[in-house]
Formats: sequence, structure tokens, C-alpha cells
Amino acid sequence: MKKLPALVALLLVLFTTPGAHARIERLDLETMVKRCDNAVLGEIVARHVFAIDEAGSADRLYFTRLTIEGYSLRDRVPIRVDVHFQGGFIDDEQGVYNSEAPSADDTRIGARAVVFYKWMENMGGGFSGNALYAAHGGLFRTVDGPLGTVALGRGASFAVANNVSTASLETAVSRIRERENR
Amino acid sequence: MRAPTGLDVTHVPAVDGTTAAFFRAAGLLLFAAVMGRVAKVTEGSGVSVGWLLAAVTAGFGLHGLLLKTLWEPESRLGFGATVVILTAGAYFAVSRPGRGGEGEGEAPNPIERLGLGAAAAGATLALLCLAYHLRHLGMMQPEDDTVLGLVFLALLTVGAVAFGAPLAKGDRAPAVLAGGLALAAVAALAGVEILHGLLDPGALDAYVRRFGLDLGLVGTLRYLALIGGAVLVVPGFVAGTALAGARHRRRLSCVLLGAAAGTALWPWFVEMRAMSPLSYGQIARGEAGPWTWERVTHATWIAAAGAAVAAFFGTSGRTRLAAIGAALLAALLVFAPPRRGLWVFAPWQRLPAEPELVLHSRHGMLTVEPARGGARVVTVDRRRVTPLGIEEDQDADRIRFAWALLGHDLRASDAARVLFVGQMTPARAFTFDTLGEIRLDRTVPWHSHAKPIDDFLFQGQGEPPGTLLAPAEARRRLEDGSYDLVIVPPAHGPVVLPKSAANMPWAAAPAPATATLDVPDGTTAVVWLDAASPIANRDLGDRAILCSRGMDDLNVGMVLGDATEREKDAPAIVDPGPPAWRQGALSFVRTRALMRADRQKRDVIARIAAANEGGALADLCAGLALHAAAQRPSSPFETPAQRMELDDEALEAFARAADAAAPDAFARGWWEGLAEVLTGKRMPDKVLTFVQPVAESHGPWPTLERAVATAYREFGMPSEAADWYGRALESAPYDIALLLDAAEWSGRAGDDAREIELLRRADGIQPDRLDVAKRLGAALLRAGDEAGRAILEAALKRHPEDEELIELIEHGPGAREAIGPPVPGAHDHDHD
Repeated sequence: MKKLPALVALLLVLFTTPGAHARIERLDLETMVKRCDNAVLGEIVARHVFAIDEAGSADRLYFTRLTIEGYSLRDRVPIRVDVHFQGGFIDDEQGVYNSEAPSADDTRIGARAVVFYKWMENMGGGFSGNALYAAHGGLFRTVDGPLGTVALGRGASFAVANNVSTASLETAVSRIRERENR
Repeated sequence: MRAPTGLDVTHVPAVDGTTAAFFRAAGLLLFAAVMGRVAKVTEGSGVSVGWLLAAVTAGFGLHGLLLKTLWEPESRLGFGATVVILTAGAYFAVSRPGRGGEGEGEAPNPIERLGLGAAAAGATLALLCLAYHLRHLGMMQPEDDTVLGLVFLALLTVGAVAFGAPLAKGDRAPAVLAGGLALAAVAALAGVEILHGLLDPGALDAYVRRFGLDLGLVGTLRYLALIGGAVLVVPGFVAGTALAGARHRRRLSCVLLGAAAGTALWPWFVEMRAMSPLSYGQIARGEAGPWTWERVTHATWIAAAGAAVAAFFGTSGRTRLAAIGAALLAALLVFAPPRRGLWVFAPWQRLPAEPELVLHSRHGMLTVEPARGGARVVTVDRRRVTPLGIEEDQDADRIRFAWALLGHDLRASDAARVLFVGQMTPARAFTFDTLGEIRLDRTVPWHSHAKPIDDFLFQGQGEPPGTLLAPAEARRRLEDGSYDLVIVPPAHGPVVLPKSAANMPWAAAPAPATATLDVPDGTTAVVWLDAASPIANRDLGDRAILCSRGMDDLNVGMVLGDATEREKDAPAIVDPGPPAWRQGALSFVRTRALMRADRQKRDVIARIAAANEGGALADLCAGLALHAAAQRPSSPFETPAQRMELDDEALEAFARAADAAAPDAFARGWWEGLAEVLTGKRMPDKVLTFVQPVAESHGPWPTLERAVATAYREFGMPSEAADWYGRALESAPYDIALLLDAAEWSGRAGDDAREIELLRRADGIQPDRLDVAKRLGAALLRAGDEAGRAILEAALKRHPEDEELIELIEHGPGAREAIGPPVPGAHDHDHD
């Protein structure tokens, strides 16, 4: 009996403490919008790869910077923003491929996309900036079709799972923001 | 002198070992003749072997790496002319005796000369055995041989100058030469030991990394110099030291003649004991025997015997004792190291090759090994001479395109006579079978060892088709006009270290000589060449046809002799244009093997585009050139479609070409590849812009129609998607996957009746298929027809655990869910 209070306390700690259980969360649009600082719908106007020497290590870290010109999905304000992800090649010999990076088609200059990003103080090597959220899972290329512009979904468990018109996507993001702000 | 592939039509896939050996020997004979002249004019003054070797090294390197593109013989006549011109040039150039220098000493007597010749032959055979294996650590390009040869010559020079010159003073020279040649032969075993140590994939990687290199540099200048230097340093120094003793003109000539004899005898030496084919398993279990050690040992005994004879009859006193002692030491030293048999199977591969059949032969190492995709491939000295599984469709097209160049009447006559110059495989046999009744002969340069390979490839499948001929007999019949058609498939290089195990690229084969390829009147020949080979500077004749695997792996087929102009099913004939500049040898060997292909393709396709400018195929060829120029290295983590770069100007050129004329057999394959790439890249806008007009103009064309349907799916336009799936079905009514897609999108477009009709058709083709039953049952229930429930319940009896069936029966089909992307991406996994 003396042990009961301790046991109860232990159980309470286990079941009420956040993070006490391992969790796998699916990244849907609502979760993505809540976690990100912003999303931009626009055109990739510049693409630049650079390297950072990591302190205390002989390795170099390579980053790709995408400059996107368009407007914010949160508040429809025109913006020009730099978004970064790990990987890229400065030339034929210097660089690294990243299995989680978006494809060259998705990030070529002139491509249009919806890009979710979040500020990170340290993406590696002390480098801070807007990071492409969830690597390739944060970038959804758009294509112009007979019925308007469509964002290409990436399948189940991605923030944009199915193809959706950008108009619908904007509306969905707006509603999520409204619920957030209530 | 190296014999190139392509000396004649029967030697395009490879050079037979005997011819290759005679060419190399001829080079040494030339050198011996020139040295005879040099020594004659400098009579009284000894030959400075160090300077001689330095000059040879410089000249070898200068031609091999810098001047090769200016002068590269491509025929037996061309090589013969080279021999004559260089010999004459050397004779006239050497007009004054040398000044000073140490005297050449007494002339060797005939028995000493014989002994020296034998010693040199033995040393050469031992070193050739080492070189045979060492070459397999590279990309088997002529530039590889140049770099390794240069390294060896440099080591000879250093050996002669640093060690030989002080040792071979005065009357010691003949003894140093004789004894040194014997020791040079046994020193090859030191190289064998070092090479053996590098064969473990981890060891080779660790070794090159110590010098700041990596295995992606296999076949490049730095890598070859490093590996060559490591393996050849001991035999190189010893041989160089020995050669310093060849100060008398006749001794030097004897050594060179002996080396020529050894080189010429190599084919018989390597096959001195018939070798049964082995498997990798036998090699791994140590059942293969010490093949390499045996040959080096026999070569060393030849060298030692020759050296002892030369020393006994050519020297005296203590020098004689020392030389004979060295010969005896060499003969006994062979028993010291482990007795190795070397088997070099591209140790840089992530997944090591495990051949099912291996043979050492005069033609090189022959293997049959499994490749990615399950197909077996045949390699000759590590060059692949049969297609991979993914290449078999393209390989069949190569045969059919060549066949289509014959007139229709001849093809339909069941009497066409065909010579196939290449390795027959079951897939190729099937393709030939589809051509109808033909009289088929076949030949391969490795004819002497063809049977075990044929037997292995065709085990359990009967005899390979056609009559196997020796190359000489095939050439005789060809010259007699016995063939209507000759087909020569392309060869490929060794496998290259990939960036990812998902994609295993193969290097291109060396460019064959093409200038003298010819066939008699009445015969048509198509010699297929890989555009990734350095063929831009080759004479490709005045007609060619093209073949590709989708938008990749472009092949150029040189058309020789008669060819019917454009029957309906024949590929269009392009002008291959005059030879253009190709990447220089030094630049080529400094480029990573993985990066070479794009450059070579750009060069040859640009040449073809320039030659066809203003002609009927101008747009198609211009588009090909723009497409080739757009290619860049891609991430190994992308899909094949994503790795392909597309250029909008190229697409517009292709569109203009298709607008002007119906695509020929090659262009149809190219368009299908383009449709597949655009679908894989998820560019539905470009599918509608470029592919849809072609499908509309030149249909029925199910591949393109399907791509257009997929594009409308991406845009959420179900009616249009259903319509295009329907068009594709008209040409492919039994394609169940197509039926299911057409049914699905008909349903999404609101045409339930059409959906049910298509699903019933699918069920009729393959009754009781579970996915069809589910869809048909759901579609009927949606339409209010209870027959759907009976179908679902019948399926449940066969699959009682299927939860989706249970759900459908209990709750009905429900609303249609959104369908995910039509094409899986490279990142095909959930995200957390």
C-alpha cells in the first residue's frame, strides 16, 4: 500500500508529461501551416549554391538558396524571399547531393511553386536563415493548365497530398490562419 | 602500336588476340630496326640507354596524349605506312655519329645474342602477364594503355639512369643485361603481389584516398599513374637497370627482337594450357589454381635460361658468375612468394561482380556475369558486348532498323542472307526469329572461345541460331558477296563507379576505327556505334541511321553498301557529316569516366546536326543536338526521368519536325521516350503543348495518348482524361492496366455505364482478378445495381481476409477519394 501513491505518481507523470510517449505525426496542410512562418506562391528567380566550413571539422556544408518572388499565402502580400535547403553543387567537383532535397526540375530558375519555410537559427555550421520546411516536402511545383494553375501534390502524408488548384490552396491556408487567429 | 577495333567489319566489337599481339610486336620490330640504324651510325660510341629511354618516353607521351588526334592510323595499311614512314624518318634523321660517351664494348657472339633474345622474350612475357591484369583496373580505353605505358617507360628510364648506369660500367654491361633480364621477369611477381593487395574493394579505396583520390577517378590520369606506378615500380626499375647494360647496338637489337618475339608469342603463351571455364564460386573457394603465377614462372624460366646462356657465352670471370647467379636466383625466386591467380572484376563496384563463367584467353578475360535487372551479360576484357536487360528493346530495334533497310521483296522472300557480328543471346535469337526465315551466319572476334559462352547463355534453350564462323571465314564469305545484310551491334566499356547503387552506369567503349570499313556491292551493312564513345572524329561514311532507348543511349548506325531509301518502316537516313574535332586524349583521360559520355554525345550529335542543316531532318537533328547540349550531371536520388534535362528549344524543334512529316521509326521511339519523361517529370503542361498535337496528328499512338490522358488527370479534368484513355484503348484493347485507368476516369467524369462496360471487359480478359472485382462491384453498387454485391461476395469467398472487400460489402463504395499523383516521386516514403 505504501507503494501505491508512488505508483500513481509515476503513472501520472508518464501519461501527462508531453513527450513521454514517442509520437509520429503526419504532416498535413494544417500542421504545415501552423509550424511554418509562411508560405510563398511564386517564381524561382535565382538559385545559388554556397559552402560553409564547419568549425572544428574538415567537412564543408553545402546549401542551396532559392530566391522566390511572389506573394505570401498567409496575407496575400507580395514578397521576395530567400529559402534554403541543404545540398547542391558549386561546380562539377564541389558539392553534395542530398536525398531529401527537391529535384532540379522543381528548383530550376523559372519554375513556379508553393514553398513553405521557417526561420532557423542554425541550419548547420551556424548558418541561419529561412529553411525549406520538411526538405522536398515543403515545395510543391505549380503548373498552368486549361482550368487554371494547379499545385502538384506529392501523395499521402505530404502537406499537399493531391493536386489542387492554387486558388483552393490559398483558400485552405486562409481558413487555417483564421482558425489560428481566433 | 595498338591494334584498334574496327580494322574490318568482323573486328568492330573487339580485336582478336593474335592480331593485337602482332601489332604490338610490329612496333617493337620497328624500334629494333631504328636502333640498329642508330647504333650503326654511332659505331664505336655506346648507346646511352638512359637517354634513349627518356626520348622514347617523351615521344610516347607526346603522341599518346597530345598528338593522337592529329595522326591515328585506322587500318592495316595505315599502320604499315606509319611503320615505313617512321623507319625512313629515323634513318634519315640519324646522320651523324654521337660524340663521346662510353664505348660499346665487344660485339656479342651469335650464341650470346640468342640467349639475350630468349631472356628478353621471357622477361616480356612475364611483364605482359602483369600488364594483362593491371589493365583490368582501368576503363580499358586506349588512353589507359597510354598512361600505363608511359608510367612503365618512365620507370625503365629511372632504373636505367639511377641504378643501371653505375652498375653497367665497363665490362660489367653484358652481365648486368643478361642477369637483369632474368631478374626483371621474376620481379613481375612483386607486381602481382601488390596488385593482389589492391583487389579487395576496401584496400583499393583506402590506397587511392591516401593520395587524395577516390574510386570515381578510375580510368583517369592520376589514378592510372598511381596504380601503374605502384604495381610496376619493382619490375620497371629492375628492367631499366638491366637495359642500361645494352650499350652495344647488337645487344640492344637482340633485346628488342626478343621482346617482339615474346609479344608475338603471347597469345599462345597465355593459352599454353587449355583452361576450363570457371565460376566465381570456384575462384572464391580457391579452386581456380595459380594461373598468374604459373605463367610468370614459365616466363621467368625462359628468361633465366636465356640469361644463363648469354652470360656463359658472353661474359667471363666474376661477371660471368654474377650473371649466372642472378639467372639462377631468378629461377628459384619464383617459389618464394604465394602462388597467385589474379581475377580482376572491377573492384571499385559497390556490388562486386560475381561472374558465372570466367576464362583467360588470348582475346582477354572473357566473362558471363549477372547484371542489374537479371540479364546475363558477356564481357571481353571487361568490355560489355551484350545488352543489359533494360537495353534489350533497343537492341531489338537496332536489328529491326537494319533489317528494314533491305527492300521489302527481299525481306519477304525468306531467302535473305544475314551476317551478325556479335555475341548471340537468347533475346537476340528471339528478335532474329521474328524476322522470318533468314539464312543467318554469325561471328565473333573471340571465336576460339565462343562455344563455352554460347553453351552457357543458351543452356536449356536449344542451340543458338545461325552458323558460327571464324572471322576469317566470315570475311571470305562477305567478300564473295554471300550476304545481303551485315549487322554489328555496339560494345560498351566497363562498369563505372556509380554515385548511387540505384543506377549502375557503364562506360562507353573505345571508338573503333571506321575509315576502311567497307562491304561489296549488293551487301548492306549497319555498324552500330554508341554515341557516348569518342566517335566524333571518326569517318562515319555518308549515311547513318539512329536508334535510342527512349531519349537516352543514342546509337549511330553507319550504313555501308546498298540501302533502300525510306520504305515505310525503315528509319530515316541522316548525313553523319565529316569528322569533327573530338576531345583530346589528355583532356579525355583527365575527365572522370562518369562525365565522359555527355561530352562525347554532344560532339557527335552536333556534327550530325551541322551536316543536316537545311535538309529534311534539320529540325529533328537540331533538336537532338540541343537536347544533348542541355544534359548535366544529376542527383542519383532523382528518378531516371528527373535526371534527364529538357530544353524548350529542343522540344520546339522536335515539334516542328513532327509537324513537317510523320515520325520515322527512330523518331517514334524518341517521342515515346519524351512522353514518358514529361510524365515522369510531372510536366502536364508540356505534355499538352508538345505531345498532344503529335498524338492528334499521327495517331493512333497509345503511348502518347496515355501520356495525354495522364496530363489531364494531373489537371483534374476527368472527361478529357477518359477520352484520351479511350483513344489509347482502341489500339491496345487487351491492356488491363489501361482498361482500369480508362474505367476509373470514366467514372470520375460521371459516365458510370462506360466505367462498368470497361471493367467488364477487364474481367473478361482476366477473370476473378481481385482489384477488377472490387472496382466492378463498387461501380455497379454506385449505379444502383445489386449485381455488384454478388460480385463482391464471390470475391470475398476467394479472399476472406480482405478488409477492403468487407468494408465495401458492409458500407457500400462511398464517395470517390482523391487519387494521389499518377507518378511516384523519387522520395517515395512518408514524412514525419
